[in-house]
Amino acid sequence: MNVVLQEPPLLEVIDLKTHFPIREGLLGNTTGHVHAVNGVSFTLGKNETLGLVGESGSGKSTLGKSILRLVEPTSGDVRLQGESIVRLSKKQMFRHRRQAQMVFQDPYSSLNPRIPVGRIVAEAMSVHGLAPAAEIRERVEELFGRVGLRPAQTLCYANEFSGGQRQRIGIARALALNPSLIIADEPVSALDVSVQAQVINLMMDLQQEFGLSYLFIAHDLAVVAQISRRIAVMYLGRLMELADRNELFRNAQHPYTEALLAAIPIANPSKTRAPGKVLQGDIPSPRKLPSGCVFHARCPIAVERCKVEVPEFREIGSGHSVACHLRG
Amino acid sequence: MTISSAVAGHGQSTSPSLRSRFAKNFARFLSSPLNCFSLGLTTLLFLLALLAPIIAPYPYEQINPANSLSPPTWEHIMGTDQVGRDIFSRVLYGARISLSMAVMTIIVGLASGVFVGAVSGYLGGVADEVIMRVVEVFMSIPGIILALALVAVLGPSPLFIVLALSIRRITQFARVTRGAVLGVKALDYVAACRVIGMSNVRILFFHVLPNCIGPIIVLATVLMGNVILLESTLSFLGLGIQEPTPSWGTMIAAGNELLTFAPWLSLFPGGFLFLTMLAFNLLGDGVRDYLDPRGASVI
Repeated sequence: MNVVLQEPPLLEVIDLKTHFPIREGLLGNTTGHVHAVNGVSFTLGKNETLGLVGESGSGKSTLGKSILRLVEPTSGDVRLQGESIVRLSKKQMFRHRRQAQMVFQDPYSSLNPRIPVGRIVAEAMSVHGLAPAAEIRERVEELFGRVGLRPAQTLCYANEFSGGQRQRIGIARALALNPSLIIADEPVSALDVSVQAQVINLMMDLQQEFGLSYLFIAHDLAVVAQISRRIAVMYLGRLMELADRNELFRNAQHPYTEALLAAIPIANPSKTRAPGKVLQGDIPSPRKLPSGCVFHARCPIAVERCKVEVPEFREIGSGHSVACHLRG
Repeated sequence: MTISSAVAGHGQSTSPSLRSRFAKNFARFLSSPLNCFSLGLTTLLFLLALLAPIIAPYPYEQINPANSLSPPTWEHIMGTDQVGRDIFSRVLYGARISLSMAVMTIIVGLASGVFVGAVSGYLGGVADEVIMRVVEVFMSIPGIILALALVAVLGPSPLFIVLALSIRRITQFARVTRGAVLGVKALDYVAACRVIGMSNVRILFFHVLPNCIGPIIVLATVLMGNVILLESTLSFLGLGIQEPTPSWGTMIAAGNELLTFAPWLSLFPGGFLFLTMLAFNLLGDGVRDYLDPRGASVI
């Protein structure tokens, strides 16, 4: 019998934890930790999009940054095409930088204002020696055309562009290294709704063309649903639920997911929301995590057990996982 | 399609070179009359200093005992001193000394201070703590005392005076640069550079520092006036430039005893010192308002 060699998934995240020490007092003693990411596991295949949603402070941006080692993870593992990257030296990491790139949330602070935007994109290529100097310019202009800008605009500075255009430049920079994975950290949150749709459509087109995988971080389920095939829901540094998009919308198990779904605006003023689904209060501080299930304090169905025992993140159907004692 | 092409079409009219951007900014800077005045005055002072050998009617060290302590006349428009040297010529050469020493002090202070501050701010952590504590030790000593002590030990040669004056500037530039670097390094485009895999040296010197230049220029302009005053103070106290080389400070000191009898001895170098301070302080304020509208906090 032939052994079928299965190709490893593009991105594997295994029990990833990122804790930030809290330093206080004159001597800067560590008095505790912020548990920004607290044991997250998932995989992402080629040409796939995983949406990651959660409210502010849930640790989704930190998760994205930890995967690219912009923030050093505390423990756990990140594997790119089967190869672990969390313990690589800076030099070894350099080779892997080409595979995974990032698009940032704020289009205003993500471009250096003193360098023509064409050079921003060109620099990425030249740092990695992807093309001879003469060719780089041509490739940058081509890339600009591909993201919906004109080649002449490579000479302009960032302040001459609108938010949506800047985000296109940010995407061009990420594409310059020809990566297979792009982590998009709320790429459309800072944009007007009409421009959001354009940027999302652009990202979907590019995914087809270049065979990209996206980890698409957002706090808006409706936006994520448009681009993602699978959706992960994050709360206080942990995944609460992970499922196919349709499954999640049809058959959400976790009470937190339910609350998020209920919070999507209904485009019909005569319809009213079912009462009791909207969450009260704020996300607790990740400095002092609640005992048991991190969601129990805001959960409408919590029981005694939830305050004591941390629910396991377990698979309840094909590709559908949930972290809840009572559901699934 | 139409929307995206319309949006993408915006910003097409401009693809300005750096030079035209500079020209535009410079014109805006000059739209304030006060900025015109201060820039004009500083330029004039630099020109006078530069062209001193051409403008000065007499060599600065030429004595003429027969015509000592002459009040201002057409021959000596600022009068003469105790040994009959022409005060106007000496004031011009004094400008040369004062301005060149100040410029050198700023260059030394800026180059070292920006480097120290940039490295400290960018590295952060323990390195930052250690560097900033050392900087604070130097800052806790009053500037004039530190300069006096150093010159007293090292000797009053121009090189050591510049060195003594710049130590304090290094700490000032270091602090300002560190603050600016801390702000810039938290921006997303620095994270983007790291994701691309650029080296820290490249990120710091090509991407972070160029965006910290505003407060550094402001500080350099403001400090010009301070350094000139400090150098004059050293000279006044006899620990600066030594006779017969003219310096405003020594000239003021020389006229000190004859202030009621021959006020022109101190009045003209003092007046030039005043004008220079005024020009650089106004210029510094103007540059700060232009580059860093948030306020005086950087100094």
